[in-house]
Amino acid sequence: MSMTEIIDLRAALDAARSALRAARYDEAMDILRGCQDWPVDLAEHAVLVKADTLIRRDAPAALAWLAATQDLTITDAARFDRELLTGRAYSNVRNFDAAASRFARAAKLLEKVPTGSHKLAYQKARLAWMLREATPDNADLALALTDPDPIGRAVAYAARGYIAGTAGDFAAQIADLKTALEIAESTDVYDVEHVAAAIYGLATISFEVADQSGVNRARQAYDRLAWTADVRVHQYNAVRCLGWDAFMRGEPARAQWLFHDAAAIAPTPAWQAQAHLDRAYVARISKNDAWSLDELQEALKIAQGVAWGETIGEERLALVTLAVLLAPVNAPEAQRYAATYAMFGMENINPYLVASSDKRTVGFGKYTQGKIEQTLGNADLAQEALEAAYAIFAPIGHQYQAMLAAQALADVTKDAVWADKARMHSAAYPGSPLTTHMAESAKPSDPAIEGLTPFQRQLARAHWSGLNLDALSKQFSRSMYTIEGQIAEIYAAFNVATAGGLREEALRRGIA
Amino acid sequence: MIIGVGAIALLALITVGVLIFRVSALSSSMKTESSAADDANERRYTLLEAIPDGVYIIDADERLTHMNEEAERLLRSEPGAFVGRAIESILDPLASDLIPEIRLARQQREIISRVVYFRATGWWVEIRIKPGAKETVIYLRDVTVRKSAEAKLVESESRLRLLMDQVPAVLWSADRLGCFASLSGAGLPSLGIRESDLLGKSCASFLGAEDALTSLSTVFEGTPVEFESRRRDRWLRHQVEPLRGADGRVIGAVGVSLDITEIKDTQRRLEAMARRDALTGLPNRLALEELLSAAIMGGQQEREGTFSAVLFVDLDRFKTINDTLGHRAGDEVLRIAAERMRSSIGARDVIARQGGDEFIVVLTSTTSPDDVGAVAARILRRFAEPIMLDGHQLFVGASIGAALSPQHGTTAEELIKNADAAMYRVKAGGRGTFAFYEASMDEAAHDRLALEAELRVALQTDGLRLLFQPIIDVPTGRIMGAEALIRWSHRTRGELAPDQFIPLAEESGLIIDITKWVLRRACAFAATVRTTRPDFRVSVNFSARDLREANLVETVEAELAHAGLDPDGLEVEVTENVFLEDESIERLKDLRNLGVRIAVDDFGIAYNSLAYVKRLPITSLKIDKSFMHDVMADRFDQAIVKAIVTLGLTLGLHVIAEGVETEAQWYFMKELGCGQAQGFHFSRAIESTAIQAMFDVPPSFVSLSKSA
Repeated sequence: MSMTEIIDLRAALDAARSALRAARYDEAMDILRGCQDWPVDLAEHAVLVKADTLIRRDAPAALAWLAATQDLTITDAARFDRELLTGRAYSNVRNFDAAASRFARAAKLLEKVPTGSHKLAYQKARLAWMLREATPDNADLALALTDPDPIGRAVAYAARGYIAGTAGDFAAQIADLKTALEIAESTDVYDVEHVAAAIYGLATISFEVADQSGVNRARQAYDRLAWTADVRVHQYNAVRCLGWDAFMRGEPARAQWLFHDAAAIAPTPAWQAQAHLDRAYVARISKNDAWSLDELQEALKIAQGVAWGETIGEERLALVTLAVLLAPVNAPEAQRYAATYAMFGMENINPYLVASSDKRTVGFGKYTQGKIEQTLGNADLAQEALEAAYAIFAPIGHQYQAMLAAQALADVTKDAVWADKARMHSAAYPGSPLTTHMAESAKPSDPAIEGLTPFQRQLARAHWSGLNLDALSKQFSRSMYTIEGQIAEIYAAFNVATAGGLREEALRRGIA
Repeated sequence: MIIGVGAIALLALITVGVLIFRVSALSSSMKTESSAADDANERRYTLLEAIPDGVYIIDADERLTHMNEEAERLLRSEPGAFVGRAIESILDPLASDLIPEIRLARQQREIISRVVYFRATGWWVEIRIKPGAKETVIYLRDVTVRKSAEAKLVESESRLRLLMDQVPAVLWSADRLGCFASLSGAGLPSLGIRESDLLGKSCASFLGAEDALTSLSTVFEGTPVEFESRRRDRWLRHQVEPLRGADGRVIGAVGVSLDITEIKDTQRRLEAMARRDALTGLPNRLALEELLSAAIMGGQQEREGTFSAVLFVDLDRFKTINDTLGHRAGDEVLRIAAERMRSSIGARDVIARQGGDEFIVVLTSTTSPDDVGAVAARILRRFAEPIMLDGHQLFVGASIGAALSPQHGTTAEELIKNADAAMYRVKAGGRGTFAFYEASMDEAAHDRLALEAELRVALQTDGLRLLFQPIIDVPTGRIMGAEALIRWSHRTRGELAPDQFIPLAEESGLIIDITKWVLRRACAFAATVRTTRPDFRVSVNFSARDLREANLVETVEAELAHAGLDPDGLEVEVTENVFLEDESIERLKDLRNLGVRIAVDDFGIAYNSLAYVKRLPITSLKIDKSFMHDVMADRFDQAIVKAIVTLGLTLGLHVIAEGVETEAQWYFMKELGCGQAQGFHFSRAIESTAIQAMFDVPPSFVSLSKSA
């Protein structure tokens, strides 16, 4: 091999490292194709970069790769890195004993690789967190926080944040995630995937506990980051979270733009459907029923093409939202989606929470189960599950989730106490349209609306929002004869004779 | 500000109407921000109202300053409701949702346009964001109609593409020189053609040299053509039309060439099927005539001294088999007969089914009439062997007529007709044999046809007569009823008995009308008699053919009603010697349920007499007259008659002795306890008026009427 070729390979290795940090994994893999055949001094580093890339996508494949290229790592530094990467891959596949064993082997090499102590400490702290054995004052973590490498330091702060969150200290979690972002943004060399995860984590927890500054910081970092397809899941979840925060703070238009972005970047069709459902919900609460129905139709069209059996738990939450939004419009279809969700299992939700056996995992599961039971008409089971969810979220200050659970309980039990609780949690978000919505819902209902069937209520709202009979027929999948008959009854209830008259009357009564 | 605008709007609405209100409202709104209202702007806004597209304008602060009527319709807004509001507060896909793009357009100072689809309403709206120095104009155009048309066009194109991809056709165009200018379609690969092989080449290479030349010249004259050609093992159908330039002149041709090989194959199969008799697998009449014509022609051309002969073979007693054992058995007999004939002829000879139980054998090259006779004899020998079918041993004979070419005819039609005439002569002469055609035979065949035509006329012109043979109550000697018997007074042949024309009527289907004719008169007669003799009944004979008529029961019911006759006054006689299908038995049961009596005629001579008694809803048994003839001398006949009478009495049936001609027979029957009798001893068949007269005569004189 000529010197020029060797120089080219060195440049290629650097390029692969950059691509790895920038979360352009296909590019890194392309560069490293055949790297096991490179000159030995380059190959021992190249195979490890490739292993790092693989771990982020497919941990078992990474373990296979590491085993196959074992002979290529010759220097102590490379062997040390191999042990760390192997341990990390094992912890990702939840083989904690094997992971601990690899970290012990790395520890023995520390004498020859003294600069590796911070990295090893981070991996050990991460493993302890996954084993639910870590506390924020974990010694390994303390060492990792002093890593002179900003990438290592940032990731250590993020880890401490997650550990604090698992322990219920959400303020500390927000503070640490903010610090992680500060460190990452202070340098040109940062790991996009780590930052993306931190943004998502910060946005989520800040929104849940109604910490405006945390959400703002996440939004700021979101706008700055060069997102790639390889971190699409983090981006999608972060932008949805920012959307919900905008909505809860009285910015429905902004929420809709963010959900629009979420639909555009959704990593899977199920998630794309979910983003349209988000828009449908916001439009409905904002009293633009026509828009809401439109987004619901879009979501349905996408959902019909999804192989739900092949989706992961988080994606399947779209089924729950579909069921909830469809329930007043098309009860049988809603029950079909609820049953589909129940059929594929209700395990979810957030892989980070699952990884750390966080009790909020149970909370999300219970809430979802409650909504499904509610849709299926099992009021007792729904109440039981929703109360369990509320009991988890309310004490830890997860305002949004507690509000949702309380609101659902108010619907199921018709008990004003739950409506009050829902309004209380909603009030944590100043300007929330939901607070207004719930207040309006609590008002004595209009007698004309009260006299209509649930289906007629939906029809009436859609009709005074501007949908003509033809559009209603399409929208509600009913014949024109049925629609005409139902609309005639609605006109009679409001004592009007035209669509315009109905709209005027609804506006006059303050229900449109 | 919104309240201020609202107040002014109300005033404006009252005074000058909606349009002026819009301008005033806008104008007033602007005045609150800037005291120098711009007349030019006002004119501009007024103009916007006239635009059919939706238009709204936002200022630098993203507040809506104007919205025309169409925009309000698209945003489902009340008039003026959005003016003055921040666009972000107008939560709608056509307002708040456009803000990111509006900002981008402003920032980049570029027009942004896109089309958005609303799935729930099916609307398509084209959005155009045009940034200005201070204001941004948003145009909204409802393009639902256009987009729907486009969607239909896309659908139509995709259908066409699908058609192109799936249908084995080649679409092509040619220039005025007759060379291919383009070729496409799914037919190309299946025909083993590459586009590049034919482009620029003469169409003759694909369309077939002669066809292409003549067809294309016709097309270039302006007339579309359609023709078929063969390309290797494939058949193609070409439809070619002139291709015209802008000035209307023919500048070339466009064509669709469809691979119709499969269609052709199917056609061939269907044609073959149309020429074959489905039951026997033999050529049918259509094929026969062609084969025969070819044989006649071939005979003329081949060698001197040979000729063709036609044998017309008609099965004897086939109708009886069909009537007694059913159609399925009849079909099987036909198959066996065909096979026997096939094995009796040479390899070059042809056998075809003419129809029914008639077959034609064509001997293609015989040298003498003796050869023909030998073949006929072979066939007859084969028919002498019994046919075993479902445990029955059946004897099916054949009658054969032969015609020779050219002396008995030079055309297929003539030969068949003459062989048929010869066959009829055989039938008339006792069946089971063979005869050559003779000129005199034509007359017999003509006779038969003429008779059928005359019968038809007789039926319509009352050329038929209905007589009645009295049925006597044996114990009292009184007339109980009468059997209706038809006669045909033929203008040249004299009076014809039923057996001389009823078989002909059954063959031709005329029997249905004849039965109806009889029924009407018989019922009328019985109704008249019953006014004075309420127990009188009339008997009418029904053939097996009558019983197959689906509406028989309705017909009887109608005739009874027409005559005003109680059903009890009618007795239907069914000959025992016919096979009755299930449907016919059901019809008899229906008739019985109606109240009509059912009698079995000629009882005792068929092998399944007792089965009849069990299966049919019988009210009477009529002992066949053959038993009566020798009853006084033959102990067997006596035993049979006794048995029938006993059977009838046991089952509670009326027993009627037919053919009672002597006093001895009369007393014999009386001794046996037979209830009723008819025959020449009492009276032959007589006119209805004569019967009426007999009622006034004492019973002891009844027998005198036999000489009446």
